[in-house]
Amino acid sequence: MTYKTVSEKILLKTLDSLILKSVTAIPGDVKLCLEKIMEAEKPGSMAAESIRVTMENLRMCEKESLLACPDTGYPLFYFRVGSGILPENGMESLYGASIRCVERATGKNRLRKTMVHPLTRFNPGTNVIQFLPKVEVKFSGDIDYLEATFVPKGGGSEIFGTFYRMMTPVDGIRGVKKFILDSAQRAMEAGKSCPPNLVGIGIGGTADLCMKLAKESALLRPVGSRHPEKIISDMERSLMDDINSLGIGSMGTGGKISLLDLHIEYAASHTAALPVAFNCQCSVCRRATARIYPSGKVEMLDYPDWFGRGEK
Amino acid sequence: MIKEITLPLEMKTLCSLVAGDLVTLTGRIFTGRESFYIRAVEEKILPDLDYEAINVMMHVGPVMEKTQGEWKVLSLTPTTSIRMEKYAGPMIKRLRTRALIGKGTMGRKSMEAMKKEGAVHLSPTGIYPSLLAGQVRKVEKVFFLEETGPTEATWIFDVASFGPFLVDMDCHGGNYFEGIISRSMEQMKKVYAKHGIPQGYKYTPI
Repeated sequence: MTYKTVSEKILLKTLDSLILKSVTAIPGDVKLCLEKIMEAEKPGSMAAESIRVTMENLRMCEKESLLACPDTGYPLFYFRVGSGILPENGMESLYGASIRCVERATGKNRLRKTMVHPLTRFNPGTNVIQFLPKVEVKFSGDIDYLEATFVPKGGGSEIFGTFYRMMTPVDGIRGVKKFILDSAQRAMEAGKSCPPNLVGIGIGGTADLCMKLAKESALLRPVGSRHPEKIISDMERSLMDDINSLGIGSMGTGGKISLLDLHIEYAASHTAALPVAFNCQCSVCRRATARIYPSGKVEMLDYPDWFGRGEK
Repeated sequence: MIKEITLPLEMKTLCSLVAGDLVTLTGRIFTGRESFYIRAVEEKILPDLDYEAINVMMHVGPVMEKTQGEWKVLSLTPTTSIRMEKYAGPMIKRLRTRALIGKGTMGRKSMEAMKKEGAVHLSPTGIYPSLLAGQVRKVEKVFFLEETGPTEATWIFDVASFGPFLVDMDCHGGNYFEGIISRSMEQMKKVYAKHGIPQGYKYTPI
């Protein structure tokens, strides 16, 4: 097989731009959704005021290149690489490039110095320490480019919006629904997870795959996207309505809408198991994606086609 | 209507605040998060501050920049207060802090301390770090920068019309979020019924 290469220079430049874009300008699909939520909330209500002031801040951040939120959180990279594509300095350079760009952005205060040693709490001040930045790579035979996504994942949604439970088949779909509903309430009450949230659910798989699906469906699928299988998409819609009906609202201030969206992904389960994972993203749902072509062309996007469903 | 408050926060003003009020603050505040409490309680190290004169604390990890010897706030938004639940009550008592600014709300222990000692909890209505950063007139001082880094350090900010913030816990025991949470729990019962989930369902123990 012959490979087409993506230059190191363009890779680094693109990752720099992705970090800068993600921390200052939230994606178009999220912005549109926040506007719709503001219209839906009762004028003069605390929830409407909450969204209004959040949007005002976002406009200011985009215009003046300021941080949409100081908690730039965990630096996460997701690369989807076409089978015929190779970074100029080899696949491993994706790790090196991610580290270099995170270090650079932290030095320029575009990323807050947030990553510390979990036990000693030592903060190197670079956000580069023990497996962070996190780099996920997947491959696809259908694409002729390298798709890079950067997500600064805030602490509020990660700390208060992460749940996992190993159930048994006896607990069934009702058990799964109960777990999702209870998790959502616990995460969002009093605004802990910074709602309106984009909730991601993983069902099935091993514990790590289950949580990975929950996280990736929250972080990487666009607002408004539905799972291709009806049984899943129906569940997405119905649980979303149910969670909204709880009346938690933006930042927990009490309102009609608490979710940007709810996405479910599943993997095969062991015949004796029924694991479910919950992970959510906050209302300033930051992410930025770019497709880098061997020709040097770079296409900036709001979200990746992570699950390879032709989402664009 | 937004109540404009001049700091330090006086007892009379404090008592007039009720859960659900919106306020802005003008004057000096200090910041801190986990490191502040852990160091204060477990290591007995406290910033040398006049806590009567600066009696509002903000739970926050700001993004700071030093240019030409001057510190500037680039971005700040309150961090979740409930993480500080273990130590916040005792510190309110010890420092006579009259207001804590933080995301979300706090627990039973803090609520009792606030009622007993006279303090309120203020939370942001949305996410507006750039607006808040613009309301910091001056970065007056920093403590523990070397030891804890800029995110966990204690900063003294002089702020003007800082906010708005929502009084979510007042010093009379009122709590803005409690009503919303209990209504959502009532609604949850209906949602359970719709899906055929028995109330109080226990997952199969494994």
